[in-house]
Amino acid sequence: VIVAIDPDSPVPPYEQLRAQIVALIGGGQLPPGSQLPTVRQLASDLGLAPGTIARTYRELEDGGLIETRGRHGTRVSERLPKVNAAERRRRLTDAAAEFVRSARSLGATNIEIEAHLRGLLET
Amino acid sequence: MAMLAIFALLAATLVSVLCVRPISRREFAWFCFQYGITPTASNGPLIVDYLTRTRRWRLFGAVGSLSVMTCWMIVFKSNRSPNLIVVLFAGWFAGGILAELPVGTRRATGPRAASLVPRRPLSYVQAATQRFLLGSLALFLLANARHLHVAAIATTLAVLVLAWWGISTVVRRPQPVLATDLEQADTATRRAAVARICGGSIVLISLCALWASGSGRAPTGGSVVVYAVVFVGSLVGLLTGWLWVPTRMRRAPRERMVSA
Repeated sequence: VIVAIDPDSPVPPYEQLRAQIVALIGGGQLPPGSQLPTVRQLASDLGLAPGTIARTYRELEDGGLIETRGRHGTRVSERLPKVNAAERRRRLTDAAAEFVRSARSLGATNIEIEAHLRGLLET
Repeated sequence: MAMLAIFALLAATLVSVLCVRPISRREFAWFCFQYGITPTASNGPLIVDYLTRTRRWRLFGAVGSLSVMTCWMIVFKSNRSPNLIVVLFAGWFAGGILAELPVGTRRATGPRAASLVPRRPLSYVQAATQRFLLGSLALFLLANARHLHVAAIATTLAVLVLAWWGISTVVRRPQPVLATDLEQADTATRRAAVARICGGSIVLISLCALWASGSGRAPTGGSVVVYAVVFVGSLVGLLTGWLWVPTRMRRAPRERMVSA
């Protein structure tokens, strides 16, 4: 389970991290109850300030996706909040927009973007 | 006094000779075998660097502690000879921990990646090692039940603090996502460091237990049994900490440390 931060991206690191953890939880790679690394560990591994990771965790906690239990560390919530249709649509749009933005920054044309997306969907 | 000074000088010469000796193929192969590493062109230098650095620092630590002890005895004209083995081993142990401090991590440019697998001190040591560490502490307390040995207690407390600090340093060291062979080597060096710190702690605490039990009045009656238990337990602790703990690390403890 890997997360990556692009320092050149216009999206702030805490938001990049938050989006990836949300996607990992949503995709089942981080099942309910799985433990997350400490703020210090993730900050040192990613070369970010601990405050950045703490902000990501705080936002995820506010959204009910993770729980911090003192000495027992931070874990993915056992009871994940249900995502309504509007929220699901908004997240999908965000994810697609992020993908298109990254692809365009690489100089990809619409046809290339479509072809790659189709290829991914077919695998 | 003169004998001690000569001994310290001889030890310093021995260390300088040993420090310039490169890591042999046998040592390298043994480390790779112990930790199940496949040596490659990229992880080889990392392992050799780790082995060289830790050996150098441990030897410097041992000689440094001897020199400090000799200077102390000369400056303060002390006739009381401290426990030489404890001093020597404490230096070796402290040197091993200091060797972990300058380890840098190659920070790649561009996107930064990290695993979401938490690293905990207990993930790097086997359950048996933890039990031996607790056992050696229990023996140490037993050794001090009859007569409190202040120097041994202070040494044991210092060992525990140093060990905890050393292990935390090793665990908190950044671990970016690397190629599989490099990650194997990085994890192996962390496990080796934690194993050495735990093994060294068991040895030192056992030595302190022997030191404490050997002081004071001669044991009589029921305390003979306690003395015998401490003596035999400490010998087992010495052998376990020195030989068993650092060489039983091939199987990853508890959970896979490499990120998925």
